[in-house]
Amino acid sequence: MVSVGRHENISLLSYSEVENVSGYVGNYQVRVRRKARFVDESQCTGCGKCADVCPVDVINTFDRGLSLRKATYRNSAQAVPGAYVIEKRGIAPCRAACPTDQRAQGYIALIKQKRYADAYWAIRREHPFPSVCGRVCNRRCEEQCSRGQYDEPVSIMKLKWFVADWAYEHRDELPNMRDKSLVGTPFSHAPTPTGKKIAIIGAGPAGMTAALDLVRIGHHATVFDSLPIAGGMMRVGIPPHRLPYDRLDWEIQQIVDEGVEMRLSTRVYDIPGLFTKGYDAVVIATGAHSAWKLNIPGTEHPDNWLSLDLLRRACLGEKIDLSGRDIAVIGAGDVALDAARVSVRLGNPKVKIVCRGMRASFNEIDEANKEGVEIVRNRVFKEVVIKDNKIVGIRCVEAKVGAIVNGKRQVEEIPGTDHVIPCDLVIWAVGQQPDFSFLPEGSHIRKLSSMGLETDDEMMTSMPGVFVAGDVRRGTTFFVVDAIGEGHHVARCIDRYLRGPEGIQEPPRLPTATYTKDEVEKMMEIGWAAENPRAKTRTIPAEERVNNFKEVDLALTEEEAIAEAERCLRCGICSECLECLTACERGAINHDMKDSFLDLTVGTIVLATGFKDFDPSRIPELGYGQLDNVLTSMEFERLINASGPTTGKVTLKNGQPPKRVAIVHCVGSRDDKYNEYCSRACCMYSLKLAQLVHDYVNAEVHEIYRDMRTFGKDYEEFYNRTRKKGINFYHGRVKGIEQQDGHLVVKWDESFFNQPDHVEVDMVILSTGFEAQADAAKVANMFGISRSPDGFFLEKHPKLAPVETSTEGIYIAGACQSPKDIPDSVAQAGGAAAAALSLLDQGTIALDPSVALVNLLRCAGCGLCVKACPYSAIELKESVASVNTYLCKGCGTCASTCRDKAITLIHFDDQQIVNEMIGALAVEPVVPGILSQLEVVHGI
Amino acid sequence: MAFEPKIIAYLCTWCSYTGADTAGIARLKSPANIRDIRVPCSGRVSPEIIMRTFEQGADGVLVLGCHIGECHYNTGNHRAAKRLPVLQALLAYAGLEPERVRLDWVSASEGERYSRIANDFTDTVRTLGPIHWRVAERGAHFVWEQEPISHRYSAFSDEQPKHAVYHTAIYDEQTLILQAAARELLTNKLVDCVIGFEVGPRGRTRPAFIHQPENVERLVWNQDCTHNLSAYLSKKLGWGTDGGKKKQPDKLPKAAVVVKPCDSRSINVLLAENRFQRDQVYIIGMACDGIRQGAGFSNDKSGPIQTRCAACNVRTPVVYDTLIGDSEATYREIPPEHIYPGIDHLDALTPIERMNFWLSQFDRCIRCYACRQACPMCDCPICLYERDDSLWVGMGIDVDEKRAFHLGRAYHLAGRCVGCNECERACPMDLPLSLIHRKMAQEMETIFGYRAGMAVVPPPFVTILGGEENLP
Repeated sequence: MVSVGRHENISLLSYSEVENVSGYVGNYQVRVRRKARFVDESQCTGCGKCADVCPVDVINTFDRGLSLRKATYRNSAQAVPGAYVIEKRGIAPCRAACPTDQRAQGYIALIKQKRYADAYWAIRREHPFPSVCGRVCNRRCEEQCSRGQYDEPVSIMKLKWFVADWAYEHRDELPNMRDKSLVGTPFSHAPTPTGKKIAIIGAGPAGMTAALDLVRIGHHATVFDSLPIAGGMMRVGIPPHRLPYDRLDWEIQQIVDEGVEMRLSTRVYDIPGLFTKGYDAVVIATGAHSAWKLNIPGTEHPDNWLSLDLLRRACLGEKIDLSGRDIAVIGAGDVALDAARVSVRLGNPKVKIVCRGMRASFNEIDEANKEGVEIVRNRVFKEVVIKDNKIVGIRCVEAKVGAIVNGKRQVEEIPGTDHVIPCDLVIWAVGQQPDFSFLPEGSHIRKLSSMGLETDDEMMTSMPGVFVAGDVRRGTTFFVVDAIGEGHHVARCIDRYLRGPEGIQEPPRLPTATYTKDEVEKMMEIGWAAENPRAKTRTIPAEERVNNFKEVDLALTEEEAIAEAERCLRCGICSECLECLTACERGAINHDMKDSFLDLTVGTIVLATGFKDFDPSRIPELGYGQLDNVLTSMEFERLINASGPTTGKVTLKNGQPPKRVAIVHCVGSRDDKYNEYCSRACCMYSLKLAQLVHDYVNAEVHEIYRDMRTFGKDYEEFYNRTRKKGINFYHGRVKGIEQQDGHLVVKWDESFFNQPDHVEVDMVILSTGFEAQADAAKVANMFGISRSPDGFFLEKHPKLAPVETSTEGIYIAGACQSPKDIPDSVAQAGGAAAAALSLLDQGTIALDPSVALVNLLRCAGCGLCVKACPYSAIELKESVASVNTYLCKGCGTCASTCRDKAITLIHFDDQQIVNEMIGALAVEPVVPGILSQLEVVHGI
Repeated sequence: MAFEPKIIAYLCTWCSYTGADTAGIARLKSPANIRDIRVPCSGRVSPEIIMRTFEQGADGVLVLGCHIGECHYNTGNHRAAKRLPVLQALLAYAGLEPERVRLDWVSASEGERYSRIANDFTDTVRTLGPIHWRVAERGAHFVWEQEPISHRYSAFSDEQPKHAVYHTAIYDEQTLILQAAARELLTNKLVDCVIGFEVGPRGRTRPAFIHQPENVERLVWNQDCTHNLSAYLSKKLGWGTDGGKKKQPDKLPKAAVVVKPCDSRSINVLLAENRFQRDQVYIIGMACDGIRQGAGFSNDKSGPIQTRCAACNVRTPVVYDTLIGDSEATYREIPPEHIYPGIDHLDALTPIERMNFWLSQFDRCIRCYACRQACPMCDCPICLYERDDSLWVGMGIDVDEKRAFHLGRAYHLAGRCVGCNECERACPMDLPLSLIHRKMAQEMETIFGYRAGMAVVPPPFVTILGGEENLP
């Protein structure tokens, strides 16, 4: 194989598939799909370091499922070429769903292997704030998780939280480790400075992410924020009982440490002025920090608070005492819940949320209820009732809340349900919007009529050099992941703006790899992922939460996290954790590789597509798949192979070496129920296995054979040698294998006189027969060749043209034609090569004279013959049929399809057939019984 | 001497002919009645050849090919498997016992199977007795009853179509819409010609070819618009010929055509057969409530609607550019068993009675070819049954020859006939041709689930067997 792989005149296209074949002998056009192997074949040395670090386990089909391999693999140790392949179905749906492009499957796979630092780097690659998104994300990844079709999605967010906590706890050790978070990205920790300065207004998730990316490219980034503290909405919008700020501050500090200049407590009023100060680009990432109130009477009273104001004050640590107050929080979303739960913690007042219908997660609502927050649903607000300059309540009407139609919720008020809900403080959490006051009057930055700012495809506003990202672009609050995603995107856009085509391009995407429900169920059946239930959210008791800002939800423990990670279905196979990229010293790995196509023009084609071994689980009485220690011959071959899963040690399931082994012949062959034919090679390989077992396992060997077929040179001698070694041979047809007292009993009938009809053994090897490849029909159709009834490719003539096929220029060799052993395959391959060469060498071919012929005068050009031709040999040219005589095989289907008989078959034309028929009818029948040899009257 | 049938067997050279050889090598007995003719593939055996074989006096025809999936030519036998059942149905309907044609599969190693099939088939045909197909040879053995010319097939219908009410006001309104559409097309030079209907000088509705916008007032739409105008399309839109070689002109002619739902189906058939391009024709579809019996011949504007229209469940054109009329008002649910009216009476007869009926009909044929000329589908450059080589049919007016013509045409229209009844309307001798075409349409629907012209798809004969299709 190696010499074939290295031959200068042989180009070996491994990991490739023929997509399409057209043309005819001497002029075949073959389209080959070169499947993306994600490893550069010319660079890979086959060292295997990538496979060492790969966290994804896949069933090793080469070892017949007896071992696991990695998603980065080489089919076998002897594979030619020796380059590795990364098995990838596409992008996992969790990654595809995430705005930050987070490689969730990657860090889940690494958590499963307890490689938490690696998992942390895998997260950090796209995500600078894992502590935040591990806690407060809206988890679009989990919505798309394939596991959700089986039971519940993997708790992807909680796993990130676990890794983020681990990293925080080990923050002192992290700098001593190899930072892999930039592997596979265009960024660097110490880039060459580009000399470009970028001002970023707003230190929220979008602004900080953009700043981080920009400094890693080599630009100088300055972040301005009006607040005295960085983090934006993460810091002043998410209350501390959901996000401990030490974690966030640490993550922000990491960004600052990379060289981002921070200008806090600085409000920017003059955006055009920034350019005069030497900035080359500006990012507006100010978020949406202004809550609003409904336009109803009574909202001008000072006891109408805005939710975001309350949250900001609380988050910044201001001591607010709300004890004894009766608070109504107006709103239905997460902000309303946060405001209510923060209020509870500020003196334990009476808090109720009044809304049309809650939009927050059920879990959060549940926790809020436990903390004493009352929720009043289905209300429409009319007035804040003020008496004696004090709020006494909010007047509302009950309403039926329907579905969302055209983006608007259908609300139908119920007449006569007017009532006042008592309260003395109203907190408004009905929505947020950006504060655009910093935009200069008459500036060139245009707002959208709906909300947000106008941008082009490259995130640039109507003013050149001014970009926008995050909530401010959309004009309302979204989620942290959206902001981070936009931060990355805007950094790439700015880089392209500043550096032109040299700038960082948008990363290419493979298609999303999803599984259907049926596929997931099948995978769970074979134990592809653990059956563990989804980890439950644990919280600290409600009584411990009052009047303090202790974090409510608890992180997963290590055991929980690993159990949760084991639930992952590995949709993409390759998890794209990029560990291999880190490990590869040759830079051979490229995860963005795509399938490519190669168009070859060839004169002849040799098909050597091989066979598939018979699946013995189709024969229930043999117990394969049900009984332990019943193996197929291929499985045993792997077991006894020194590079196999057990490095050549043959053991039973219990780890003991077998003392007695039975080898059963003709499994799936010479059997009316399965395959009628003899698979030829099994007798001889069974004898080889018998000798191996005898010599190397030192076990007693029993062969149960139907007929011993030792047809080749030296084969009978080999058989006699095997017999002489003391191996037992029994003639018979095995009727069943049963388990008895920890042993296997093989029973057979048709035994010779005075011979046993059963034997008790520890291990059974089934000599499975050969079958045609599962896609043989597709291949035969593609290459226009025929198949015999057993499904193997059909040769043109069994004796005179054994390697030719019905299609000129296409040859077959090896077990794709019929079951055969290696010497025969090699001999046939030599024959096929010689036949192909002789055709090429001649340069000319003799065609069969019997081909279709068109009478142009009669042809109506209806095209039915074109559709009827099994070989696509006919096409319409200038509205009449035209036969390609190289492709035509002379079946005459066209001639019988043509209504006008404008197309006919030379040597079998209608005139000839009709005249032959008339001639045959002219002979009177011979009376039976007189001349028996005349009874068959062919050709009279 | 006992009757010994003559049987012609068409054997595929790769499987069945070799299988017959295998039978001989194995000294298996095969009846001497069978005369084997070697063909490359069972797909080569055209139904015309089988019909011709019966014409020539064979008592049975056996077609043997490779098993499905083992064809030497991949899928040649699929075509045989699709054509033969339809041919059997046609011959049976014309009065031949369907057992006289058999399609079976014999592979090269199945000598025993060949022998068994040959013996069994010979026994079957021997039991059926001599064929009564060739009238010329029968002599006094069998005489059919000659029917009077006035015999109409409508006598076979259960129920006479009810006297219909024709809404003249609606027709007038739709005529105005039609004229406006035609005027717009011609004024804007979108088409060269509008093919529609007009009322002739004697009050009969007839086809009209409008080339000028000022002439569109001639166009009408009424219950007498029976002609299938798509018959004119191939000639109007077809490519010119130049010394036998067709030439594509620089600019393809364009025409607009007024179609009823049935006519629109024939446009789909023509499109599937590359008669013209879809963009060459502007289709003005009319939602149709049925056409009056006798339309085109008389102008009494009343009377029952045609039998085929009473049983029609396609009331909206299947393809159109403009639809005129209310497709919901014309919609009618017809039970599937009533879609093909009139044929069940003939089905109920014995083969001899059916043959008797058809011979009495074909006897009246004068071979004027009016049916063929009127048919939108009959567009072969030189009709197979009008050639002077006598390969397929003699040029005489023997009833055998007339039958050969009509059955051959019926087979050629199987899977293509949309039931517009133009052949029957054009026939000066009142042959009930629609019965045989309708029967073939029914068979195509039963065997392949296929109705001609419902979409632009190739007819089932040229495609390979689908998973759900019946094997013989």
